[in-house]
Amino acid sequence: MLELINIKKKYGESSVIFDEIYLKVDNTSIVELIGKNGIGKSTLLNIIGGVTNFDGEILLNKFSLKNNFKKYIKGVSLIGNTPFLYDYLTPSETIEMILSFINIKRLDPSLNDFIEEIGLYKYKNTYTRELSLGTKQKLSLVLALLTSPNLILLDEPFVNFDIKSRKTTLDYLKNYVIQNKAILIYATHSTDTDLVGFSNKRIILKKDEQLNKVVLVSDNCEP
Amino acid sequence: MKYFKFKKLIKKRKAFANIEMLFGSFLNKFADGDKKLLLSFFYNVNTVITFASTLAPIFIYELIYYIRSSINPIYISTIYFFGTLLITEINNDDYDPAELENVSQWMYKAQKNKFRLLIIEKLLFTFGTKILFYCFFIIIFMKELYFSFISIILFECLILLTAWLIIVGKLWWSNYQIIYLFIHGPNYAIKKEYIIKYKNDKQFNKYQIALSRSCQNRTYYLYILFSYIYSLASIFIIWILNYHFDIKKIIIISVYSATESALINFLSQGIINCSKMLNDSNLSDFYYIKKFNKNEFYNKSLSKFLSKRLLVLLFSYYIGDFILYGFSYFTAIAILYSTIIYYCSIKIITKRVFRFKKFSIEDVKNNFFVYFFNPIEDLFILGLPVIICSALAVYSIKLGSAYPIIFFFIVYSIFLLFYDFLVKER
Repeated sequence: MLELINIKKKYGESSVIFDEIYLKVDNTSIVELIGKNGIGKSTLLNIIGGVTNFDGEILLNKFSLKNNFKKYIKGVSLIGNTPFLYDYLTPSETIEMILSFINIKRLDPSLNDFIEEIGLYKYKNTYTRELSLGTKQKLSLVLALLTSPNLILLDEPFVNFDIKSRKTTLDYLKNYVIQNKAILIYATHSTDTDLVGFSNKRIILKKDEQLNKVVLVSDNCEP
Repeated sequence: MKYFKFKKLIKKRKAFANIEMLFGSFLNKFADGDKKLLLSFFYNVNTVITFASTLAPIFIYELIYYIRSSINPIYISTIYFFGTLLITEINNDDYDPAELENVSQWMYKAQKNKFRLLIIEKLLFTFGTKILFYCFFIIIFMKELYFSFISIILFECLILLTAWLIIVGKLWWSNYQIIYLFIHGPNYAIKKEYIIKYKNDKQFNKYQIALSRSCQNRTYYLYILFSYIYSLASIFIIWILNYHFDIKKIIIISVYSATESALINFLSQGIINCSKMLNDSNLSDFYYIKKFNKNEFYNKSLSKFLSKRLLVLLFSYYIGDFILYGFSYFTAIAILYSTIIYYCSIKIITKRVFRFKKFSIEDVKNNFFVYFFNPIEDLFILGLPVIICSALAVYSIKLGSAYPIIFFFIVYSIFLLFYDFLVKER
């Protein structure tokens, strides 16, 4: 379970982004995070992904982000807007290198099939710098799944995918979440029909004009 | 660790791509097979030069050894050693914070944090040979001067400690993210927020305002600090040498004038490289320059920006010339050629940044360093005075006159003027 407890985030001395954000997400959940441009969707994902500071507490399966970061981060994969990829390595070399970082010898067979299905296999020997934006995103997604995370955070993940790849990816992710009792949170603007019915929870970030702060509306949001 | 194997592969591929891009028009004249051979040849030349530069300290220390009767080899080699440590580049691809943050995250997830080992290995690759050669030669020098074994060991320990502090200081100053990752790992939840408070700068156009903001980082301030330190130190040293030592003015002025273009080259390139905007916005610069034919505007904006930032150097040359020759026609000429060298050097370097004419958008994409890189110009145009200043000084001493020096620098400044004027875009 993912728990956000009294999350507060501000930039600089005065600009408050979030204040008193509470959220509970059970395992085996797919959460859609929506809101206007600049409302803080990416910031919220970055907070949960541990790549930016905040006040409050976040727990993933009882492991605290602040107090037990090593165990917390083991189960988290975040794909931001601009994922880091090595321009002069091919996708297969990139995967091999990352596998060596995480002490895994071989690629999971299901992930191997997924690579083939989304059409990444045919680019396995092409330099990353020569790949299209969508193919780079596919590679980032594969890299994020290498560690078998319990929590996957995706920021605008499917915008550059072709229809077939998107459908394959959504099916794979849905199965992954069910099989691994994982949580998937993705920020999106997309109103694509493929995404209808994909998530089982929805979080809306919106500005409360009276309180002058961003509030979170969710079906399991506990104040 | 497979990391270094792949990093080596990346470097090799990048070098090949860079050579292909730099010498594209020349290489395209050949058939594919010959082109590959030529590429490999250029790459091997590059590898040999890199290897030779790693061994360069050996030759310097040997030179110091041979002239040890006229100088104190310990002082000179120690100054050289710390000088090389200070100017060794740690803002390059090997220490890219974005990459290292990514690597750190992956390694953290493996629960076996090998990231610290990786950073130590990287630092050893960068500084290891420099430290090793120094330590080896300093033993020889100290033995020659009959220092005891204990003194040598203590001195080496002190040097190693100082070298370590310098390396950490350099990292802390210009690549502090790596220090943070080394200590805390990729846990940014506990990181103190670093807020950039941009200073308002009096600029006349919006591009210069943006340029000024994009340069407000620690590396930029380090280069500005270098320029101030050099200016003050050079004035002080010239004053000391001129009034308290029996060193010929001819030698001082030839060496002093020769450093100007090389120094401006070093500082300008440093400032340009540390500007996030020039590095990251080259695609938009490429588009606007091509669409609106704004090359002149971009060149002028950047050269004005650099000229203002490095003005202290120019003034230091004025003062240095004045200390040496007082109110004289020689001072007037030296001031004139210093001014021409100053502005022309900046303009020549500036032209490299926006030379998009020959390149396609794919070439420009993520390849800022490649088209900015011009070792031939660095060495033979802007570095020319440094190469021949010693011969010039010797010749002038033989003649007993400073005229060859004046003549050379007048010719050199005129040459730079023509070079800048004629070479519109390379």
